[in-house]
Amino acid sequence: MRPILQTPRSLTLGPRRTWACFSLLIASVLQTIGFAQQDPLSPNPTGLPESGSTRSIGTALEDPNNPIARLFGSDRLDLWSLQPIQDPRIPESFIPESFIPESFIPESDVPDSTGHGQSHPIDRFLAEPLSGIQPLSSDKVSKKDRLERLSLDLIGLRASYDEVQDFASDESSDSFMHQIDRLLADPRFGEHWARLWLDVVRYSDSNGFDWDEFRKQAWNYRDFVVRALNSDLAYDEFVLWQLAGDELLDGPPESLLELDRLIATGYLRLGPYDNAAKLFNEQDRARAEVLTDLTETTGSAFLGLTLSCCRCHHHKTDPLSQEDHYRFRAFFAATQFDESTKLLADNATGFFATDDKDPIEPIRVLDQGNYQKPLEQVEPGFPSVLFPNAPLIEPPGHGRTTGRRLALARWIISKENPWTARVIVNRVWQNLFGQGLVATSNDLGVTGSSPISKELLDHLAVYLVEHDWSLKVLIKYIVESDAYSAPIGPWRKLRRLSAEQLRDVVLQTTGQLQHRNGGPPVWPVLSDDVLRSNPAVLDDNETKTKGWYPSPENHQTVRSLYLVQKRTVRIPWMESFDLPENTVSCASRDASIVPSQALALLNADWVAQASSQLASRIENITEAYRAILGRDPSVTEHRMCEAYLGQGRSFQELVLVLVNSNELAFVP
Amino acid sequence: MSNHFQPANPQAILANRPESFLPSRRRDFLRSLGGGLGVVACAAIESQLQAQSPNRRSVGDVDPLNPHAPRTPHFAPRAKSVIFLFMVGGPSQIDTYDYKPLLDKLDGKPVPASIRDALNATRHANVFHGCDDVILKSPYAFKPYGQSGMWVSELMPHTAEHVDDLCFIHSMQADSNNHAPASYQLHTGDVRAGKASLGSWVTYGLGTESQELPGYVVLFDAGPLGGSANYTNGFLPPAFQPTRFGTSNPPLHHLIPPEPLVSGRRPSLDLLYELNRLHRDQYAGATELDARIASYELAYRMQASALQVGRLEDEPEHIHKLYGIDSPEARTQSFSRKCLLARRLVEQGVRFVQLYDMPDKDGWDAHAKLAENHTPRAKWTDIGVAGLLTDLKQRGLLDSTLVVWASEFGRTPMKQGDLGRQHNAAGFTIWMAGGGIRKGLRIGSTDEIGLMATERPIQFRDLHATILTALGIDHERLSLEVSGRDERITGVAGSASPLMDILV
Repeated sequence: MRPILQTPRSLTLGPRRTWACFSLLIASVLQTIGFAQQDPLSPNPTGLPESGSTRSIGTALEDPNNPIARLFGSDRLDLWSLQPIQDPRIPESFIPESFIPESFIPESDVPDSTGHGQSHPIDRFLAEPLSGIQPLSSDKVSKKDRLERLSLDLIGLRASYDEVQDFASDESSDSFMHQIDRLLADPRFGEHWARLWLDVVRYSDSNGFDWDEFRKQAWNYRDFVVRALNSDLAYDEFVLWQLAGDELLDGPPESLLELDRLIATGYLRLGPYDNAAKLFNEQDRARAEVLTDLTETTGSAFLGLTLSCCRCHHHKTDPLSQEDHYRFRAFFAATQFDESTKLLADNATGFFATDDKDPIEPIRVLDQGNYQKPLEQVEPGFPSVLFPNAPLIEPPGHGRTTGRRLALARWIISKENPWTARVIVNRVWQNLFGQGLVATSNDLGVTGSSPISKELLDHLAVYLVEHDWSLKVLIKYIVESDAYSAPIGPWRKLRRLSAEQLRDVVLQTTGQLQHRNGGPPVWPVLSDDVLRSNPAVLDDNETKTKGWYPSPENHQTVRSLYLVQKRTVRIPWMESFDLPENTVSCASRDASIVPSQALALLNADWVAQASSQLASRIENITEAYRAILGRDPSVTEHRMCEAYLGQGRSFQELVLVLVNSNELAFVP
Repeated sequence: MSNHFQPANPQAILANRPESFLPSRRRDFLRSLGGGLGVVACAAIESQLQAQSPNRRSVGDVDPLNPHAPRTPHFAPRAKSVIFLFMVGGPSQIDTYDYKPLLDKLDGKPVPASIRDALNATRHANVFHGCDDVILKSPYAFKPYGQSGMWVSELMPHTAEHVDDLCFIHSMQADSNNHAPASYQLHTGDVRAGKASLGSWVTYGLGTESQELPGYVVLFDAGPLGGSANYTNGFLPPAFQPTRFGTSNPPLHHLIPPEPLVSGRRPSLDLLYELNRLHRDQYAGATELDARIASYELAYRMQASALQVGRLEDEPEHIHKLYGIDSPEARTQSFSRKCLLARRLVEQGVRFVQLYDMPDKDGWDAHAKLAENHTPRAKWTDIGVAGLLTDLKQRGLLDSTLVVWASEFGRTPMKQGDLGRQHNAAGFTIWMAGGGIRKGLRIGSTDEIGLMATERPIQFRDLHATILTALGIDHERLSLEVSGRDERITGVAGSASPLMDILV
């Protein structure tokens, strides 16, 4: 008899987890090391404001002088995502106790505020009839599928035959919990979830536009994300560091811990940058585009706000004015995106960002969003619908930066912010179920989807914040619900693996996938024909940033996360499987099903090579099934495969068939 | 991902093309497979093969399981397909199609003050940046052609013979004077990367007539400046990303298996089908699984169709000659082969062919020594373009195929460096022909030195609206909601208008 709610606490967590210390240069140490040092800069490391949580939102929404109400009428204040996050009542369990799985009965010695003898709160929310969606049934998929699903969702790779066997033969009541813990502690967890985050922040290793120069240091940011996720850096700190890590430092970083805060600011530089604009006296356009992009991406990624819609005019539907866009933009007014930063006294360079205050560029509203038509100047400000007053901006003690981004970041992670926690728990849900509770995970506005269950969304948001913003604790909480292990149905659609996952899984199951401890990206060998898709590649420069620099043959089979991601030259095989455009935030991957994908998976040389490698190591049909699909063939399948081999077909071809099977291509 | 395996000989694959490729025979074959098809799987394949289904959806109403099925336009289309000839790098309008005799008189002199002041008062003032204040006359002679008497330079003698079929727009403008942003704008409507390209929009709107070939094809030796972000599907579903064809065999990446796997392809697909069917039985109503099963059958057919359409050698000698494929010049051959392939693709029902002239890293970007850049480039491309127009016309395809010739911008009448010309987004020339376009027409004009559009300036969004209108699409209704905004290629501001006076 185990309690459902004891499980999160079984992850060993301090009262406030601190950032694990990792070597930047030797990023190979992937396991968490408890680094018990308190942040020297602040007794309140997150900067989480202490003010009463929800009162101010309510006040702003009820204020007759609310600027948005005055602009558009008060209807716009009714938007669900503006309302304070409130801990909803958890519905009573509808499932008779006799049907409750053994593992969900709480132990008596663990306090359970939600009531004994009840199913998981998530399942209770989903058992309510919601928006016409059929309530969750209590069915579960097979143990094998359950583990495959969990493995694909947590580490992005399939469970091996042996892992499936271990799980199947483990009859203990907490066998699934053990698997969850095992996979959450696996360093490949960070790799998989980093990929999901990199989509949101439109990560790329290059500038884009004409020359699409290689960003030699951008991988530091990618590795930071992997480290952050693996060591379960609290999400609020994760946000804070990316937006204002430099403002938390007192000078040049003196420890790896501090260096990681600086690396996190690479977020500010991830957007496309037209480095050629100055040649045509268009640097003002390029700068305006960088600020636009950063404003819009920050709105989408952290807040689910569509600030792109109010760049040219007031928002058509949401409680956002045009001034709101530019007030938000003003937080970035002093931000510089150059290779070196003044924070680094020793002239070190890196993929960081910080402020240049002399002088701070005035931010003006732009008529129709046109940088050539500036209107009135604005000062930094949060969306006026909830926060009409000027924010308190205090430059940090060192005085090198403006404090603007720090103020923005602290507001984003404050308890007064109704968006941040909802947005991230929705992303986590989406990554685990294929679709968010709000289907439009970058848009919690009027034109976005309504939440299937606002109560569940808020329950999870409260849960996250109460558990120190721990994503691992949240993930564990979700995947241990019955809902997570339910068959394909209204809550869960079949999901085709992403381009990266499919490539990784093919390499994994054929025994080709090699581990890599982060570091500079791996460049695939591409034909000249492909490389010419950006002619700049034909015209490399002295600093070696415009060309293509294939990595050695024996590095090619790393996880897709580590393949170079240029903006103007795409790897054709990956592109076939719906790589997103990495110039704007990607809320969720599309998963098209088109014939060119079949051709890519049937005919690519590397797939043939992987099939051949596996075929040389196996001796029979059963071994092929175990390697690729993690199970034994059924009698019928075995007979079919036997007949196939009997026609003179090779093991390599059999492996290729299994690699192409639907069973491998979808999350069960 | 090394070249471990030698690609198979495509001719051998075609020679062994099974009879079951005939649609009816293939369907019978599918039906006859042991155990029979799952009903839904069968329906999925059938519907994907049925280009002429009576129950067509309307523009943009995409069936996710059959995204390329043809859809009904908003109104009667004037054209069914588009061939977009993109001259990368900015060919000079004043050396090709925008005849300015005053340049001869002003050669070596500064830009007249009135023209300079007029430009300086606009958003295009930066066109002066990087130029000398010295007029450079065209090194090329112009003469009038056709019944319409249009003046064309000696650079384009073959295309000039078609002027009575062409419609020139002399007053195009772009929002940036740099390649990638201007090129992104011509392709996607926005100077920033990340938006969807015209070809993706058109196939998203209309689907495509051939289910055995991709609907949106790009052809290039080297791509446009700014790379793949030009022709991307952007935020549109990835089913509408383009497919790049080459003009040698095999014409597609991943089209044919490595050699050791060729002979077993059919039995392998049959086994795969059977295994997938068993797997599918565990998932009631899983249409994604059916769609993927069907996609393997379609891939098999696409392989043969793509190889077939890529067989330029099947064309008779006089056609090769017409396009200039018999030229001793390799770059002429290369461009001409793309033009011929474009015609073969359109003939097979491909909706949108984006064809780039970019034989090297420079394209038409003649910052120095204009003549050394433009003279050979015109020679490499002129005959192929003209051959394409002639061929489309003689086959009756020009009526249903809209041909566009354009670049991201033109060039300045001012000299840059050593007899070169700077980019010019303030005024340049494009032309259109075929499906729905009036013939022998010219609209808009630049000032007397060809620097800035003065009469009826036209923006890319107007061009996009015009092309969509020709295809039977109301450009304001071809939209997709992205992050709360109704994205349209013609922009959300509503300032685009189709050039109705150039449409028949």
